[in-house]
Amino acid sequence: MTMQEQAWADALRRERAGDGSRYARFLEEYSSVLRRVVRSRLSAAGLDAQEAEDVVQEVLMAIHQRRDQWNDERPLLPWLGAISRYKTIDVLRRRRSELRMRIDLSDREWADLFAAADAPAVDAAARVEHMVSALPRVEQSVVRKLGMEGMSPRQAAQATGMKEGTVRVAFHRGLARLLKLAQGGGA
Amino acid sequence: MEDERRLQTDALIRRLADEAGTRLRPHHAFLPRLLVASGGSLALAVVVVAAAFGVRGDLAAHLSSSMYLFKAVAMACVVAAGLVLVRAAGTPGASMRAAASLGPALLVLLAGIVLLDDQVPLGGARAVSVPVCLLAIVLAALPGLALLLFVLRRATPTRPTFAGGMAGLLAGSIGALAYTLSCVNDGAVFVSVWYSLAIVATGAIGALVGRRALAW
Repeated sequence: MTMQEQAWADALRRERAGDGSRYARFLEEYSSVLRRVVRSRLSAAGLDAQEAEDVVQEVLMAIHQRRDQWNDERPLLPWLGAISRYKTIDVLRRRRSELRMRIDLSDREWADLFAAADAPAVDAAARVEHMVSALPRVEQSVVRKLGMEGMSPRQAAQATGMKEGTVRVAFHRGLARLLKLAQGGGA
Repeated sequence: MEDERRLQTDALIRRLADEAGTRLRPHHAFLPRLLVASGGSLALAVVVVAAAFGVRGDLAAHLSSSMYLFKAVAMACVVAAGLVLVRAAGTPGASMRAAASLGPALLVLLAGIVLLDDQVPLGGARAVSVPVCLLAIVLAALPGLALLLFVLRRATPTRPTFAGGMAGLLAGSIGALAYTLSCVNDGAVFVSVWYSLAIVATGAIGALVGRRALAW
């Protein structure tokens, strides 16, 4: 067992006694190690290293949720490693399918939005902005976060405090409403 | 954009650290739950075998025969190995040396083939022996498989397909153990081949289902 593993294992034991600052230090140290590993993995796989931060957050949450399942008499690194590996694969797989879904939607629906407009292309962005701001509050914020800022449903859920499912539903409703607005000849 | 995400991570760490000490469940809750689920699986398997296939008529006299002992001990060894493997599959970073726990089961099966002198052919005593045996074991295993997958979901399977397969192996061996109450094919080769095949088939079902059911 390395010194670092020992220190981390100790921090996790202290967490059980309610020591938040040792636990926070462990989470920071582990996330910086993890960030480095995930980044190099992502770029080796030809993916955007920017996704690394999402992976790090997912792994931290998974470790946190299951921290009570670690048997403190067993080595910690294999336990952390197995969870990190699983969540990394999981995030990337989900990201790929989300991407596919988003592109699927925009192919049809965003194309329809612009096809409905005879206005020159420069106007399109302003028109979209105009229609988006006509959406109800919740749908509007979700459409902005997912469709414009490029957040994942999970991140948007975290940012707004909504459930992930609610975010997805609101996003779909928002897009449907936008489509209607566009076909109806503007807001 | 990237700095913003780093800040999100820092905020997340602060939020998680605030929850320090709020989770006081013992870490070793998985094994007791697994044992209870296995006991339940065995009970369910016995019910399925007795209801659908019937207990063999001479069971009382048969129980003390070396053939029955062979069947029961061999299947109990596979059950024991299944418990070790499912436990490992639900524990992140567990060593895969757990696979060695299948050794005793294989030894018992081999010893039975070598030592027991029975005249039962590979195809069994009757034409329907093989299909009935396979079907009975898989059917008896399925309720237990559901139970075991449910328990595994609450552990941390970091390889869902593998974990599902191991749950299937355990459920299959439990089903096979229950089927010894009904099986009239007293042949060591018959048992070694067809029981094992039924257990592997249940393992495959477990792997297929586990791939999705055990994702978290």
